[in-house]
Amino acid sequence: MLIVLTALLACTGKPEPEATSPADPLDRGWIPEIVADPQSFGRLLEGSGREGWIAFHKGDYDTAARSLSGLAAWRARQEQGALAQDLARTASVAWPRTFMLWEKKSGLPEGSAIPVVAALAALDAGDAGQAQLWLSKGVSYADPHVAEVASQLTGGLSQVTGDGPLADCIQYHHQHRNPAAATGSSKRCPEGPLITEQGEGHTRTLFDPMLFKTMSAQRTPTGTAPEGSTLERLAFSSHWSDDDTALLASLGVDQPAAGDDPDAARDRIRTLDKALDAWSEKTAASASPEGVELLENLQLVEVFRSRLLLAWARQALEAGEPHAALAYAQMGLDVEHAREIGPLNPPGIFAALTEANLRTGHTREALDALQVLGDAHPEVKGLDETISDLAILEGLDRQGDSKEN
Amino acid sequence: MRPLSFLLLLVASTGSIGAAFRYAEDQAPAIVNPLFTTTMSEARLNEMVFEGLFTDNKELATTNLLAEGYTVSPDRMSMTVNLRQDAEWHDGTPFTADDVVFTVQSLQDKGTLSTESGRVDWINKISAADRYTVQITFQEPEAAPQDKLFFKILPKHKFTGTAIKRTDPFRNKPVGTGPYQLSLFNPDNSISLEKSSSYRGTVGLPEMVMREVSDKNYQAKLLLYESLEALVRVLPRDLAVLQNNRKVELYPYQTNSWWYLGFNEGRAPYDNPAVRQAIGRLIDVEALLAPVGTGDVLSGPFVKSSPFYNHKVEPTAHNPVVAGTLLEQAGFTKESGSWVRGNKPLVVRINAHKTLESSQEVVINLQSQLQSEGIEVEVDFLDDATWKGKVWRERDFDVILSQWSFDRNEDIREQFHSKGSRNFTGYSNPEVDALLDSAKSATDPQVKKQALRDVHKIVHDDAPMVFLWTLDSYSAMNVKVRNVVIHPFYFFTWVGDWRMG
Repeated sequence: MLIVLTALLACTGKPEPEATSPADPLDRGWIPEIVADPQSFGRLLEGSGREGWIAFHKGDYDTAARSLSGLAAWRARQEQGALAQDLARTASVAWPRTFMLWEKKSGLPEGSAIPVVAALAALDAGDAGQAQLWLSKGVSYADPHVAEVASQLTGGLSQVTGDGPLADCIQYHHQHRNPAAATGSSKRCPEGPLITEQGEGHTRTLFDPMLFKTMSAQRTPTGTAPEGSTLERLAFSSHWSDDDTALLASLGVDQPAAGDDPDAARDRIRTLDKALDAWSEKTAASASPEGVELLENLQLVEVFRSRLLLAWARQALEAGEPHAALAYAQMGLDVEHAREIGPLNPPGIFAALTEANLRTGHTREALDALQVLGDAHPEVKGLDETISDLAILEGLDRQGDSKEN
Repeated sequence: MRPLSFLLLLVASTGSIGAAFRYAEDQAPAIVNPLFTTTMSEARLNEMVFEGLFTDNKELATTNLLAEGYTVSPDRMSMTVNLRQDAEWHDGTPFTADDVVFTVQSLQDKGTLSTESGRVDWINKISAADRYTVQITFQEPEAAPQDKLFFKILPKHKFTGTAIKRTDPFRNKPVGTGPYQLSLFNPDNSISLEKSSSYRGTVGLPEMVMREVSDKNYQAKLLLYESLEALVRVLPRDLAVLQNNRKVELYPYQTNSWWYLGFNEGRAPYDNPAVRQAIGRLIDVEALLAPVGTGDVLSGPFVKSSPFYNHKVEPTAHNPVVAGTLLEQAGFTKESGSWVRGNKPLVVRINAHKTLESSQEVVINLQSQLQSEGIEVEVDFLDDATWKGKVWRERDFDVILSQWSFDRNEDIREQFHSKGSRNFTGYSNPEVDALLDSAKSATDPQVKKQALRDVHKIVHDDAPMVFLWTLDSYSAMNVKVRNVVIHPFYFFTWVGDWRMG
């Protein structure tokens, strides 16, 4: 769609004259700028990279980061970092919960490296006390390499030295989160499971709980963002304008309701939707045909809405309000394309659904969203397998029910 | 439903929001008796009328419902359940331990022929220690027996013995302890429920009305015109319209459901795996799915997000050439464009639910596909009562088109174990039986996970069914309904908290 529209824009005439002192707060922002001056969008695509912006619009931030430059590339990397941070937050719940329930319901398999991986997960979640509890269980590890790491780990991540797949991976994480600690040696983590061990008649796989936090550290750009135009700064973002605080306040949606209240979250979204619907209708009636075409075909308002609801979901998750987060994420999802990442379904919305479901006890439902994310982001496989184990553990003593239709 | 009927329904049912919560089902429950529940619509209605000793809380952890507490013996071979003393049946009779004992004994009674009898096969004995205390002993040690006591309790005083028939008058005058009691079976197949005056808790919606709206093309319209407050399952092609309507809220309601064509392996030619595998390769599943909605084509008996789905097993590819080879192996030849054996043409007779959403469309397209490959298809759409008789009880069919829904445990044992009560196809593979047994007793999650992924592969290869798809599934509700949390399987578990805003 973006490809067709860039051709269209090449043929259009002069931009519309700029509006003066708009009374509607929504009349000032990146979307009204594009609608009022469709050529500005064409200039954006030519200036920074057409393919990259197409990818950015679709939520393919990996391609966008590779294809764009300057501020646009910086933003794409920011999105990559944000997704990794979403997954790190989810991992900080998934791994500890899985291993604690495993021990409680099934008992720890003899000689298994589970306590060591559980300790890593606890350290990653900032719970050194829990990590020590795992490491002090007096386990006789079947793998001497694991045993060596376990004894070093009691002193913290920085104390793990030596070679071997587990030690290498821990050192990799430590170095990439602490550049000052880099030794120059090229440690790495295995692709696939962190640990593969033999159980009774089966092979057990344990995945790396530290992957996403390191990924977030690697991907999130540091320092000041490069300079750029308004469109480079805001296009396809959760910000309507440079002065969102005042804008959202004027719409009455700047603050979430107190407490983890999904109905209040939905009311907030409906207030937002009312304002956006009114603005869209008004604009479609008065803008140039080229502007309207961009507005509708690129779904500019809908894209903004999806990014804003994702931002609200993330804020709610950070604030420990998973029920509100679930409401934001569910209402932010484009159900017409519920099984694909796209302009209205950025990858973060699936991460938010996964985390919110997990935090509200709906572990099995968390896998529905994660499966979609996994199709485009294979790095979530370990998280998927771990949450799968958790879902199985939660249902171990239950009788399943099935019905027709 | 013809347009005039739709208009009459619209006129008859238009009323102010707040008078009753009206929701649509594709088919009305055929029976309101938890002993004989076979469909999702029946399970949903039961959830409002009946209660178990325990239930899920909103975080899906086990919580007391008719039980007040419990203790499990140190050897885990028995438990004592203390019952709440303030629960009453809808007719005002007090709920007591005798009702719990009666329910278990009815489920165990071979004269009952309950579709739910498997729920108590782990119980050795049950007795009432006193009016509000139940003692249960188990066949084997149980780690968490309370997790198995979710089944609905029945009122002993409404029955004459523990051998209960489907035709027992209770089905028309059900009595439960739940927040709602049945007030009317209406002539239009709708069911009215009212808040039970004997219910001990608070209930936000005074009246519920279940409307049978079998034509799904009208369901969305009824919701948009505010003649309904909710649709339990939205037709996939209506999702976009409802999503963009600001008076409607969509809630995910996935129920781990999948569609399938099931073969009766007790009947020729479906006793031959080559014939089953051939038919699977003659069907273009993607093309069948396209007009129905968005979803995932499947390769086995789980949805793709399931922990048990084996992603290494690809869906059966549409391949008429291989199908032809398989049919020839089975002794068929193609003559004048039709597959025949012993001068008899291959005719696939399919039974489908009359009210299964989109089944008519699927069957018509399936007929077209198979006929173009030289196989005749005859179709019989069955109402619910006939389906239960022919399929559930008598196994009197050749091929069925249907859908299974599973709760979050996704337990397929009853469908694929050779002794499974829902194994309509008569499928039997000792290796699968062993894996299902292993999965059932597994305490290691990865043992269970691998066992069921192996089952997925074997069942795919054996092809007792052609696995079709799972659809995106949402329910839709008027935004004025507040405090809504939907149970991922039973839907109405927490309906007592719902309010009209």
